[in-house]
Amino acid sequence: MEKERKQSILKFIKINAAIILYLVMFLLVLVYSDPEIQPFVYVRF
Amino acid sequence: MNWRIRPISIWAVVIIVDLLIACVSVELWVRLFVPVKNVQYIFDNKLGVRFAPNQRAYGYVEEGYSNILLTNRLGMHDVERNLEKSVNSYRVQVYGDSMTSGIGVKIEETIPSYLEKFMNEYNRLERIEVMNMASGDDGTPSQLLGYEEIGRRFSPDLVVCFFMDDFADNIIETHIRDYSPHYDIDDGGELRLIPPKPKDVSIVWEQFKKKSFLYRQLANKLIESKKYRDLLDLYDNLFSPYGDSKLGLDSFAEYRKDVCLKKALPVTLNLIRRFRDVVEKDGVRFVVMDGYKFRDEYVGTVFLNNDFEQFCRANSIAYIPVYKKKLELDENSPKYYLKDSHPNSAGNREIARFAGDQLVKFLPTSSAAVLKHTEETESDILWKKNGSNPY
Repeated sequence: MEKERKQSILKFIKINAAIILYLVMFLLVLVYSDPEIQPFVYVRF
Repeated sequence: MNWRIRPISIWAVVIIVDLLIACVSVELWVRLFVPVKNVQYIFDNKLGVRFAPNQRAYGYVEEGYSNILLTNRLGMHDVERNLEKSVNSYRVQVYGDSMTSGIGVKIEETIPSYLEKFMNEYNRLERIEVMNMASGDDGTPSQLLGYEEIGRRFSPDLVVCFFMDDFADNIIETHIRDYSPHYDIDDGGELRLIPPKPKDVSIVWEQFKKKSFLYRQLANKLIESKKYRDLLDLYDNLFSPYGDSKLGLDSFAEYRKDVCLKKALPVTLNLIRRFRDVVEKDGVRFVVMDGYKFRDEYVGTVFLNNDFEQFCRANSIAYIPVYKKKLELDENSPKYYLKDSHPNSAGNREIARFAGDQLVKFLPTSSAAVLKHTEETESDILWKKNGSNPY
């Protein structure tokens, strides 16, 4: 029972780590992508 | 709770937590390793949105090149200027848009800085000081109000309006940004100010936008991309309230052209005259530098740069056709421009050299002898040192 519990927690952690890794990779691809810049664009926040 | 809904809601929470962890991790990465265009703005009740004063942030980033924006206490990309002019100095102020503010280049590489450098190469009695008065990237209304609210307190001798085909930026219908000031013409034919709409920057979302570098990086890329521009054009054409309200106009582009000719053109010409009146009332010289070939999308099919020159002559406004130099530079675009089409340091230098050669002719000759570009002679150096005029 204890072993099963440990394995399910480990599985849960692995799945979450994979999700986080994919999300981080996705965000980094967006961060480092170089879009074709349109002229005279003004970004104001 | 339903046995099916429970696991779904648990996984939703888990994924949101994962997303937060990923975002925080990438936020840290971006802060440590990625230059992010991060210009800070403030809201002024009269002048609208302007560069925050005393900031140090990336003003421009493209692949392989970036520049730090430094603003003085006035919020200009310029060195600090004293309220009082120093003795023997002639103060020029340049009002303009993003081309004048030059946040893509260092302070010493902006058009006003190069103007100062080149104009001081003429051997004049007084030192010429050129202030960069462009904060943000708006049109003539912000420039006029900027002079009234800030510039005149610095006692300029000459004011330059660097006009960049600003017709569409001068009216709310085409400029859209309601947090900037605009003008229209009332029933009596007089200019009427439309003050900027207050912008509450204290709310949580605004604070988040201001502080998250990851958000800024992603938003910069989205807003700067041509695909986003295409989407906006599509939106304008499909859902713009103007398209349907104007008979015979099939697209937002047609509407924009129509409203530019009918409204922006008279508003702009009136604004230029108002700017001249306000400046000259203070005993200051007013000069227009015309920096951009008028585009067909706005008024270029009907009103050309030559017409603007004639307008300036008819209204006794000194006029410099800087756009002619810019057209020359356009032929060798990669050498003189950044990727976003603003001039780089070399482009600014060429434009300022051309403008400075013209502008120096409008400086008074009574107080100083204007000489051609010459190296200082020994007598010049002695004269400056001893204070005696050799002429």
